[in-house]
Amino acid sequence: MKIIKFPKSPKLKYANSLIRSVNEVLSTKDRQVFFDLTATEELDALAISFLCGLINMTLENNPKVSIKYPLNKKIKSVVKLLEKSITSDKLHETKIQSNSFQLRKVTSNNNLYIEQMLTLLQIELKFGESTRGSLRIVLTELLTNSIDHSGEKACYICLGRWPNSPYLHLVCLDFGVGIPAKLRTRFPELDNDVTAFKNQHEQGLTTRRARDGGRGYRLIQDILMANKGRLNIISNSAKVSYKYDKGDYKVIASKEGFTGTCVDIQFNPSRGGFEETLVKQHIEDFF
Amino acid sequence: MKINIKKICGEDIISRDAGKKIRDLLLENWSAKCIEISIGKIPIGSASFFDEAFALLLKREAKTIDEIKHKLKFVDICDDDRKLLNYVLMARITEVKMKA
Repeated sequence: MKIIKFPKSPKLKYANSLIRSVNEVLSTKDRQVFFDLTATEELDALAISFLCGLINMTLENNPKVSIKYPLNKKIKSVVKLLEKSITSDKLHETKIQSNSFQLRKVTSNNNLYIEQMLTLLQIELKFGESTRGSLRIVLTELLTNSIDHSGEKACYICLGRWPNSPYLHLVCLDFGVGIPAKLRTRFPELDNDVTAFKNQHEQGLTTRRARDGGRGYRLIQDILMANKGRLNIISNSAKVSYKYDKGDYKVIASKEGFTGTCVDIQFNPSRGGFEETLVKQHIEDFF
Repeated sequence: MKINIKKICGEDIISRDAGKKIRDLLLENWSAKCIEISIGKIPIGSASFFDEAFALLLKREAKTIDEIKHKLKFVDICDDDRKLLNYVLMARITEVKMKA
């Protein structure tokens, strides 16, 4: 039997504990696995994405997964919803939805899932068309990046709003090769993951340097800058934290590394971002 | 000449691979006076797709923006996709000008 404990607050600030769980799951085979959430008092997009990914990953190599539920009733109901959806559809596209969040496990470049999520959440959370349009661009870019570049052909996308946060929270998580690892394969002179991220930040975050393409993260950054949101990326052994609302930009080593990429975005729902980008960059109306 | 993006690309209308299919088809039929492009009801929302399908006509195929504007007619493009298309076109125009 293997017990994997979830922390009290599995949010971005304490993401290392989630990363540690990934590595525990990867080293566990042919055992009965318990995810212990008894101490967990809050969940958000990050925790939900990791929990789903971890359970799916565990089921690939272990016969049984069980969850010890949180003591908090609200959190418990969310976890039950997740458990039911994942364990009954373990080999299929996972769709989980509640009034305040949507999660999909996506295994192809199919934007229908993104439209579904945006439509359902726009009804509940009542954000405007400008916000929806900007979110669509960001989500689509993150999806294609994961499916085309991670090597895993699957990612978890979670979008929603949680109490005590003014932001919409958006997470795209995959357990693929990781951005720094891919950069360093292409550019061996980048001698560690932090350097890889920093170097690419100076030239735009892309694994497609000197090839056509690679504008995706640049556009995400432009949108978030106009939106005054936040971009966080944890991949391999490095972390990126860009707080556009505060003008605070950091690339640092992660205490715990993992094979994969987690993009965690905090998006200001009262603003768009893409419209302002068009104005700022004086984009002409060719069509 | 009419191109229906959904019919050509199927489920994937957002990746660079999907965009390349469209660009290849455009080039095969570039002698046509007018090429009508239909996207359908679901917005594409992908900078990568629009760049690969249309904007790279500027950089890789040496087409001018005037040629592209004159030849391509988007019959049902939504406002969000139209703005994204203009964004990627502008980016490539700027890039081509800087290299010239």
